[in-house]
Amino acid sequence: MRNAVTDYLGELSTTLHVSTWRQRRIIAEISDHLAELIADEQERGADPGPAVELAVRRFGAPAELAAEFNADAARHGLNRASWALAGCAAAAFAAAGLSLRPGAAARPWPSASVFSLVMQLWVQVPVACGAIALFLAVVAPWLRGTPLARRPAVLAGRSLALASVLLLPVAAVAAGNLGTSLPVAGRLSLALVAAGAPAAAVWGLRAAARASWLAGQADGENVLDVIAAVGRALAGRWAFAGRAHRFAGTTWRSARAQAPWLTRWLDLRHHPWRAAATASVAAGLALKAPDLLAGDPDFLDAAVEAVAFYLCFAALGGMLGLRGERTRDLRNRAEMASTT
Amino acid sequence: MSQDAVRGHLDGLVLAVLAGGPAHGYALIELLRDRSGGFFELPEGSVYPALHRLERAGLVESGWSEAGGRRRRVYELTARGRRSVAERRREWRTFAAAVDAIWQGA
Repeated sequence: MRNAVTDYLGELSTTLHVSTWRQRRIIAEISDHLAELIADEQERGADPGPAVELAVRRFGAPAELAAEFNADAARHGLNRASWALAGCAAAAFAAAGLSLRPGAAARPWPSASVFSLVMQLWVQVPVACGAIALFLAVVAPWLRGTPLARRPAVLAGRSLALASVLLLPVAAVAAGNLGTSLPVAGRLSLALVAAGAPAAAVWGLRAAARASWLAGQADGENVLDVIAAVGRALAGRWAFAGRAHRFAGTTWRSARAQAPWLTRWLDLRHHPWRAAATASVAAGLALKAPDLLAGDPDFLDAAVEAVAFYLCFAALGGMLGLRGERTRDLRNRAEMASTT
Repeated sequence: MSQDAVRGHLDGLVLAVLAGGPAHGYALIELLRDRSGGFFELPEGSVYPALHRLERAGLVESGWSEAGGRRRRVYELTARGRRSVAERRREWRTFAAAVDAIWQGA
């Protein structure tokens, strides 16, 4: 009759996808609890055999229990991997900044142009993906007071996977430059990137694979919806955030009434391509703002940034849930809802 | 009230029970049942994911202890956990009073 307990623990072990030491701990705790339940049932008058069956039944389905542990492990993994990738991205930026500053007298590997392209332009994509993952997996759940789940979890996983893969060329360039005549601080950041990025990438890909455990059947929340939800949560939490939220809402509504032609360009939910084009130009200008303020504008550089920004949005916006849903998709969803 | 609805509040309920003193999983589920007058008849295993989650969040800490020849993992609140209990209690009372006020008018 002890088989019922053994079977229960065996099924739990095979369906649990957590670290080995946590699995051991869970099994030990549950085994102890089941022993208490069996003793409890026997004290109530049950024979040893039925007591075991009753105890196992009282404990709940092992698959459901394992699913809950797995979901928590997936959340935890996404959280930690997001922080790790954010750290690597920050180190990459620091390395690029320190290595390319005037007077660094460095001869980067494989060439100055490739080094600049990878460390200054390419790295912005994993940084953006890492920032989205960090927002979805860490910041938004904290501010909303709800655990990460469903589509935002999947989007966080995709962002992490993409950031992980795109950081690898950055790590390769960083490793190739460790032996060059870069300043010590620059080489330290490069060493961090070279060693940290592959480790963070493995961690990130593992967490991304587990994100599907948190996916729901039908849930259309994209990054824009999460940003809106965070705005509402902040408004409810702090008075000044509430005032800022109301001010932004009123301003947007009045702008839409006064200048519909202008707001059409900025409404990412309904006109993602136009809004992305506007944001790309703004990003290009903003990234080169220090040069503009110093009176030494580099329009070619700003244009490269703007084009890169737009291309990234075109290639990755849909996959990362950055675009509002198209009217056709919304209509299809409404039709599906009405027929079920 | 459905079991899913209760599960949504499980973390807070576990913290509230632990505010009364350290407890192991078996005792926790008994206390939840007793203090709710038998209303929270949850599957016994459901407290463990909540306890592990709260431990990861730094709200509870745990350690093995042995009593009567039986090994048990005992959980207790951390300082952060005690602050969280006070905050959650305040939030719940405000929420419950608001819902109650609406139901009284129905």
